[in-house]
Amino acid sequence: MSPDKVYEVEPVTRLEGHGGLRLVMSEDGTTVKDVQFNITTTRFFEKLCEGRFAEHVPRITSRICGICPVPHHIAATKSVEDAWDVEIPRPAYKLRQLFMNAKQYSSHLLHFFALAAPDFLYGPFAPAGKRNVVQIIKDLPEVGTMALKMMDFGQNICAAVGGKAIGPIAGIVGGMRKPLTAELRDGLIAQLDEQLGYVKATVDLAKKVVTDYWDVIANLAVTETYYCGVAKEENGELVHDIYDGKLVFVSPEGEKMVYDEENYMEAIGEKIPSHSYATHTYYRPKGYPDGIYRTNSLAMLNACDRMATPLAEEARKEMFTKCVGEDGKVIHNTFAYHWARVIEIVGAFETMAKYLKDPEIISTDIKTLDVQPKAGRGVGMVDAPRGTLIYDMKTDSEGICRKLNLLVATNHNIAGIEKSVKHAAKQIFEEDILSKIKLPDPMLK
Amino acid sequence: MAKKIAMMQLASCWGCHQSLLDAHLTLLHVLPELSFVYWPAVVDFKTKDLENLPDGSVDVGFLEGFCRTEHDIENAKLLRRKCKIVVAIGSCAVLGGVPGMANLFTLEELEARKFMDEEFVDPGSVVPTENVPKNLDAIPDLHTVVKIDVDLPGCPPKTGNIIGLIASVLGQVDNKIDTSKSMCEVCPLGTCLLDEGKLCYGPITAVCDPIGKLASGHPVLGEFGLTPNIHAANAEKLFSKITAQPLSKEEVRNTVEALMMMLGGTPLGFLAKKADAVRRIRLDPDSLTMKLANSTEIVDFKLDGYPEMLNHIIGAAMGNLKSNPLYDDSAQTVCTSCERNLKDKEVVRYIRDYEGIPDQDTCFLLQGYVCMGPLTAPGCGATCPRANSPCLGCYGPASNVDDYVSKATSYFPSICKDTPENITAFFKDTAGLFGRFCIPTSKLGHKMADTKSEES
Repeated sequence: MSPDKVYEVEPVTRLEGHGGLRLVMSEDGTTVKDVQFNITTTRFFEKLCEGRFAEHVPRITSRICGICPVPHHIAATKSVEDAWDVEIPRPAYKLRQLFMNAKQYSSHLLHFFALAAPDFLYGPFAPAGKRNVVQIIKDLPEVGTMALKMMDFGQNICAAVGGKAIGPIAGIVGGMRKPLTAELRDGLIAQLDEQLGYVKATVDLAKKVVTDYWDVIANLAVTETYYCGVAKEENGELVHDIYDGKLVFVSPEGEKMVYDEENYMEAIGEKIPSHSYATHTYYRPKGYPDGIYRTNSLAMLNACDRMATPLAEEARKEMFTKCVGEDGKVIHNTFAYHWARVIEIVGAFETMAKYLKDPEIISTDIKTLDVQPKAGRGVGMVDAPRGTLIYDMKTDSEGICRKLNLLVATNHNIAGIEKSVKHAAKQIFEEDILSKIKLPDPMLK
Repeated sequence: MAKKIAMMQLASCWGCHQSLLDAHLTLLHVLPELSFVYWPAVVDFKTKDLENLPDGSVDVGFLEGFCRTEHDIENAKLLRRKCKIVVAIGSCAVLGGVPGMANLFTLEELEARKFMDEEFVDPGSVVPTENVPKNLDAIPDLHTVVKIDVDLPGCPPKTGNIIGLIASVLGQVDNKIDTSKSMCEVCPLGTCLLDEGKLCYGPITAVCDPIGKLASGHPVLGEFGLTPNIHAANAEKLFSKITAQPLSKEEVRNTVEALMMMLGGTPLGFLAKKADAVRRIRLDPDSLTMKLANSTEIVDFKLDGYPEMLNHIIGAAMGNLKSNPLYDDSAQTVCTSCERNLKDKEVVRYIRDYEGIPDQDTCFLLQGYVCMGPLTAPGCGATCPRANSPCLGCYGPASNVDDYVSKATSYFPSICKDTPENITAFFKDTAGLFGRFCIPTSKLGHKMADTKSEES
């Protein structure tokens, strides 16, 4: 047997976690033999929550992710509420929707401008010292300023509603701890027009990227998988909703399967790979690896029948028409994730505006007194910026967390990422696709 | 020249990076001053790029996260080798962090739950070992892994703390400081503050531009470090001032600030330096030996390369603090910046966070909610209490607290009127409540595998 050539990317950068990529090629460099996405750290959050006051778990697990602490905080709170049969007041529901969408807005913008845009603005082959957001801020200060002002707006709402934007604290079993003041609300409403202008400029920039890189989007790493997302059932339609919905799986052919959140185990299996501390989740009825699925923005758009707001819905239709035609049901283009993310930015903005203008958003009726611990099991699900997030908690009669199962957003994507990277590696090294697709001149040099 | 910065990410959540990025528009002013030679969260340089830089060639290295694997230990040591100054940023690096609660379990228990619990994962699964680094038995105190120069706690540290720290640390590596003379030589004031009976550490403080603070009549507090070329006459006046009588409350606060800055702390008051001389005055006063100077008893303090009078002044300042009852009051906590009313300090009984609706204007403890504010270092501006949520202690121990978990375990029962039985029944999870951010740096240590059966 001939020796293999091994290429390692250590670490994978612009990643909100810790991982390496390992590519094994045949000695003559013509065949891709294996691709591994090695997640090199795990922190054992499920175990360390055992024995804690259940109502404190949302303040512990918000430290799982510093970019998306809000969905963790909220999903954990929902799981305890489900276990203890607690109903929250309507204004608390609205505050949480505002909170979740503000986080979606700032997180997606961070992803688009800080993590993704450098590849498109400087081109994928620019030197490492150039290909980053620090350089974008230096070279394109007006775009940098806009991006920073948008993230600032989202993070300010997270802080106003959540008490703290990173490691938030405002959610409590039974509702929210602190009402939004009219003064803060008015200050935020006053910025909506400016933000809408920025949102439209971001869409224009994204469309330019889509046009410039269409050959890449249409041909590279177009990987067929299942998809997992969250959507709310309304009059027989599945409507995009990141806080309140059902678990939706989509087959590679576009068929949708809907599950109640407490039945998530029927849909999701977890395989322990030998080469990654992150588990590989799969669509249980199909088994592993056939049931490998992806989650996050593109999956959310595949899972819903329509967006909840008008501008976002218009953008979703445009994307489907361009990628798979008007009657297309499911998009597999990995690079379309960025486009889908921008559509979700539009949706998050419209949803924030809707709730900010709702008079009930400043109500002080935000916490029910009817909260009693009991032995039980509860499931809380939201869609985090990086994908579907599920909390499954068992508590004892004194309200202590006894067992916790987490299916974390990025975790759902690990197997899918590995599959799509493998696909791309074969295209690049075995089929020499880079010489056949058209790359634009970089916007910045 | 932009300063060279490296950001090393150990096991962590990205929150400290997000907090830095949350400076948003301020970044437009800060970033041009910095050149990131390693920052995997944002920039594409790889480990090899950092390895290839000469040792000690990076101005400031930020160490974020904690050591879960052998790979993290290697990365921490790599950063230390390459950097002149190493800052531990965030509660994971400084205290052990929320994930440090993993030390309440053995590694076998942790791995069994994650990889082998067949209620959730495929049957027959085993712990991954292929191309992943081995987990450590327990998360260590990072200070025992590499030498840390500055601690910046907080989960995450507030954006302003990070920007302030960057500005301050950059100042330290920036060689504008002139130690050839003291601030007295450039003092713009007509009358010496010491002649007015005010406390000023100008005679022993090195010179640096700008001196705007001094021009406004504010005393010099060691901002730019010590000078061996002290102003002899004014130094005598300063020594007499410190040894004459106990310092006032404001003078105590100024002296603590001056000592922190002169003895290698940073100009940020909330930064806790492990075992520094200033904290030792409070935590372990008996460890300080005393000597006589001009018939006054002062702390025996020796800094090589400086005149004897300078050592006398620092020794006298520390001696004054040691016996000064006001120094205790100046130990600042989260409560210092909390605006809630504290009518009396009596706690009737403890209640859980989900109970009732907390009043937004009254101290949480008086309402029965467990709030870690009284034991916790300041720096956050009481962020959580202002959001109607009790403090959890993410900035770590206040300057008058040694071991956070032990102190909390004695403190909370002691301030409550309820029966010992009720209090004991309430605190079902002291380790998780009091050690939320600091188990790896607490004297409690970590859970060890039970080896008794093997021995017998």
